Amino acid sequence: MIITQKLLFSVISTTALLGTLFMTGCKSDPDLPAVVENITTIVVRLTGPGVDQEFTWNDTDGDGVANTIDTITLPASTGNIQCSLLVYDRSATPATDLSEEIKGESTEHLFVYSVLPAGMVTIDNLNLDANNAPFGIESVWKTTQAAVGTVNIRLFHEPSNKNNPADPGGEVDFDVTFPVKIQ
Amino acid sequence: MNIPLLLPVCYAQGIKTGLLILLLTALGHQVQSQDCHQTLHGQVKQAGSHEPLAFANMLIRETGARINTDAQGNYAFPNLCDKKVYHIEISYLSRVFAVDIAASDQAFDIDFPDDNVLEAVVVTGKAAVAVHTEAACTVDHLDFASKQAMNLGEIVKQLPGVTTLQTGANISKPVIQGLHSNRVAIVNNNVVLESQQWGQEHAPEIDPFSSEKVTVVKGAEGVRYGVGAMAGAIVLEPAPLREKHGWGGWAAAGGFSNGYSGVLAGAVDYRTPNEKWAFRLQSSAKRGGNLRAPDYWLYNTGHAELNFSTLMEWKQNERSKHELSFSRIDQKLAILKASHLGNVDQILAATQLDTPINNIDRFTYTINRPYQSIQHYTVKYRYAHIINDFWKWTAQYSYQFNQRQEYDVVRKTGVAADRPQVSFRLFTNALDLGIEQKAKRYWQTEGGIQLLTAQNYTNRGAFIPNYTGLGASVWAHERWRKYAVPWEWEIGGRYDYRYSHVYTEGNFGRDINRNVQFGNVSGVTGVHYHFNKAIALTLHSGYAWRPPSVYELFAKGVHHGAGTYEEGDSSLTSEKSLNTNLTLDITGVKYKGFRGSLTLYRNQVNDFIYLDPQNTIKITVRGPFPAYYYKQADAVLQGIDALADFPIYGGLTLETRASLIRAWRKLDSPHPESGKMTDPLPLMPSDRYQYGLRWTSAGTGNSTFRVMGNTILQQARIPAEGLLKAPPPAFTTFSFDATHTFHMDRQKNGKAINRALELGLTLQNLTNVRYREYLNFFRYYADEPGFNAGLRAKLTF
Repeated sequence: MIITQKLLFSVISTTALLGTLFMTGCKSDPDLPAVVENITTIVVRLTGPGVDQEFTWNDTDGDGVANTIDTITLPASTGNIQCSLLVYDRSATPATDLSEEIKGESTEHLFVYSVLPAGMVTIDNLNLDANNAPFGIESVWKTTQAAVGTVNIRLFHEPSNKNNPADPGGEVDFDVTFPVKIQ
Repeated sequence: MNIPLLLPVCYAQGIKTGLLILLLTALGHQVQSQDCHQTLHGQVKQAGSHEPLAFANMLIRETGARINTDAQGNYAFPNLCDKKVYHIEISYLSRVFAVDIAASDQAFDIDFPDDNVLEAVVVTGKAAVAVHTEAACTVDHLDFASKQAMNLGEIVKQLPGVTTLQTGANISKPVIQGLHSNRVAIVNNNVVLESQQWGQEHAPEIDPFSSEKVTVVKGAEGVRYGVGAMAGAIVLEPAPLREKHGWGGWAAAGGFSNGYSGVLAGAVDYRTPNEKWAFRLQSSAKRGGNLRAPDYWLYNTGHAELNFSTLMEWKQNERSKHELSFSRIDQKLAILKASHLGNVDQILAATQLDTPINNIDRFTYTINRPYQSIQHYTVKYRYAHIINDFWKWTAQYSYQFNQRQEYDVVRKTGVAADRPQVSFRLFTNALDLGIEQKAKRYWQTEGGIQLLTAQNYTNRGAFIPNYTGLGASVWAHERWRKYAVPWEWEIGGRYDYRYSHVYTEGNFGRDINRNVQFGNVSGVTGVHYHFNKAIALTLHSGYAWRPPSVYELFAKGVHHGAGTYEEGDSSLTSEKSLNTNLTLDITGVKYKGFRGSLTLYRNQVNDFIYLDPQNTIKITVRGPFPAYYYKQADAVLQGIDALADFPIYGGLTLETRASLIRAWRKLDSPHPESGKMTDPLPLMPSDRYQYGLRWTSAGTGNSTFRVMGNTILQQARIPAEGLLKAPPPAFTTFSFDATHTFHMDRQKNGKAINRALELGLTLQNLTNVRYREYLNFFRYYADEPGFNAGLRAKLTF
C-alpha cells in the first residue's frame, strides 16, 4: 500500500516536473525572430553616358505599401545605359541586402521588365543565370524621344519557364512600377 | 434536441426480498435535510414491450402518500425531502414485476420485465433538476466516431445550424448559425480555448480523441462562456475517469483512402485500490498526404499531428476533489500550393480557370511551404469542495500557451530558409471561482468570478502589434422549476471588463503604444414549457458582447492568404448581440419513435465588425492590392434549423435535417439606399439539406448502417459589392456509414471484464462528384476532395 502510494507520488511529481519543463522550455526559447523576408526597398541604379543615378521604390514602415516612389528621369536618345537592381529589407536594423542572396540563387529567379507605352525605353541584354537562362538583375536600357510612361519590374521566384517572360509561372516576390520621364 | 439526448442511466442493483420496494436516495448521503420540495417522477413501463403501465398503484411508506400512474404510466410524488430514503411499493393487478431502473436528471423511468421475481431496487440519483433553456444538441455517436479522425469542424457539421468555414480540408472552423471565430466559444474540458482565432485560416486546436462528448449550444451564451459567445459554444467533455479500482482504456486505429492517411489513438485509465486517485494518459497521432480531387491531386495538402493529454483526480475526502490535467496539441498543416500566389494579377487569373495553376499532379506525404505549424498547451487545476448538502464551490486555474507559425514560400537558402514568416505566441492565464447551489425550494443558483491575463507576441513585420490583456468578470445564474408546473425559467447576468495594452517592438515607422478598455453586461433569460412528456417549447433570449479584437483595431498590411490589404480601425466599439431562439422539441416513444426539433432564431448584432472593400488600390511591393478596412454596421441574422427522424419499419429510420439562414447588414454610405438593412452578409452558409436512411439492428443496437445525402444550394445572396468569383453552383454528395460492435465481456476470478470491439466503415463523396463549397477559401483555386473510404477499429478494455 505504502509502495503504491510512493509510486503514485513519484508519477505525479514526474508529471508535474515534465509539465514545468515543457512550460519553461517554451518560455526560455530564444525569441527566434521569425525572419520575414520583407522586401521594403528596390533601387534601380542607372549608369551610362550622362547618367549616374539611383531611383528608389521605398516602403518605409514595413507594411508592404509604398511610401515613396522616385520618378526615373533619363535623357532622350541615349543608349548603353547599364541598369543594376538592388533589393533590401530595411524593416529591421541592420538592413539586409537581399540582392546577393538573389544572385546566389539566380537559377530560381527571373526579373521581368515591362514598359508602357511600349518602346518608350528599350530594355534588353538581360544577364544570365548559372544555367545560361535569362536572369535579369542587370540589363541595358536605351531611350529615344522624350516621353512619359512607366516601367514595371517583377521578380518571379521558381519560374517554370524562364524563356516566356509573358507568363513565366512561379510566385511573384515583388511587382513594382516606377513612373518614367524621358526629356 | 433541447433535452439532453443521452439520458444518463442511473446505477441500479437488485436485492431479493419478498416485496417490491424501491429505495430512493439522492447522492447516497444519509444526511437529513430540511428542504422538502423535491419531486420524484417518471414513467413506469413494461420492460419487454415498453408499454406504459397505466393505473398501477404506488405507495410511499414513509409519508403514506398513494397515487396511481396515469394512462401513460407517468407518476409523480411532489414535496419529498431531498436526500431522504423512501420505500415505495408498486402493485399492479395481481402481477408482480422485477424492476430495472433508468433515470435522467429529470425523471426516474421504471421498466418492469414480465417475470415473477420480486426484487427491490436501490436507486441512487439526482433530484429533479431544471433544464437549461438554450438550444443544445449533442453529436450522435455514429457521427462522432466516424469523423473523430478528421477534425472538430467535420464532427459538428452534422448538426442542423452548424457548418464550417474552411481553408482546405485540413483547416476547418465551426460556424454556428452563420457566425464563427471570435463569436463562438470553444470549451474543452471546461477551459475556454484561447488561440489565434481571427482569421479564416485559424482552425481550433482540438484533439477530438481526447473527448467523448461534443455538444453545440446555440444562442448568445455570454453569461456561461464569457466574452465572445455571441452565436453559441461548442462544449467538449472527456470521458469520466473510472470509478472503481483497476485498469481500463481503449485503443483505436483508422485509415482513409484519400490522402492515404492513418490515425492511431489510445488511452489508459487507472484507479488506485483505495479509489482516491485516478489517472489517464491519452494520445493520438495522425499523418496524411496529398488529397485527391476527382480529376487531380491537390498538391501540398498533407497533415501531421501528434497530440497528448493526461488527467489526474484525487478525492481528498467525501467533500473535496482535486483535478489536474495537461494537454499538448502539435499540428503541421500543409496549404494547397495552388492557393498561394504572389500578386493580384495571378490571383485574378487563377480564379478564372477551372483547374488549379502551379499544381503538381502527384501524391506525396511531404509537407512543403506554405504550411502552418501550431502547438497548443493547456494546464488545468480544478478544486471542488462540497460545503453542505446544497452548496458547492469550485476553483479552477488554467494556463494556455499557443504558438502559431506560418511558413510562406521563400528562397531555399539564406537565413529565411527554415524560419516562419509570421509567428504568434499567446500566453493566457485564467482563474475561475464558482459557487453552485443544487435545487432548493425550486431554485438552483450558480455564480462566480473570473480573472484572466493574456500576452500576445507577434514577430516584426506581421501586421498585428503585441498586446497584454487583463480581464475580470462576475456572473450569476438562476433556474426555477417546480414539478407539475409545466413552466421552467432561467435568468442570468454577467459583467465583463477587458483592458489591453497594445504596443509594437522595434517595428520601425509604426510605433503603437495604446491602452484600450471595454466593459459590458451580458444577460440571458429563458422559459421552457412542457405540453406533455414528449413535447416542449423553449424560448431563449441572450444578450452577449465582444470587444473588437486587436487585429480589427490595429491590423495594417497585406494579408497574403486572402490577397488583400487590410487595415484596422482603432475607434471601433464593441459588438453587441441580442439572440433569440424559439425551439419546439418532440421526443420519446409517444409518437412511435418520431423525433423532431425545430428552431427559429433571430440574432440582432449591433455594430457588427466586418471587412469593407474600399474601391481603392494600395501599391504594395507585390503590386497593387485591393484595400479592405474594418468597419462596423448593424446586422441581422435569422434562420431555421430543423431536424426530423421518422421511424419507418423495424430498425429503419428516415433522417432529415435542414439549415436555412438569411443575414443582412446596413448598406454602407456610398450606396444610394445606405442605412437600409438590405445588404447580404458575405460568407453566409447557403441553404443545406441532409436526408438519409439509418438502420439499427433490433434490440442491442450493435449494428448501424446509414446512407446520407447532402444537398447544398448555391448562395444567391451576396454582398452588394460582389465577389471575386461567383458562388459555386448547388451540389449533392452522398455518404455511407456502417458500424458494428462486438461485445466480448467475460468473467475472470469472479470479476466482470468488459471488452468491446467497434468496427466502422465510412465512405464519403460516394459518387466522386466534382464540386466546390462556398465557405471554403480554396474554392477560388481547386475542387473539393473526391471519393474517400475510411476504415476504423476501436478496442475498449
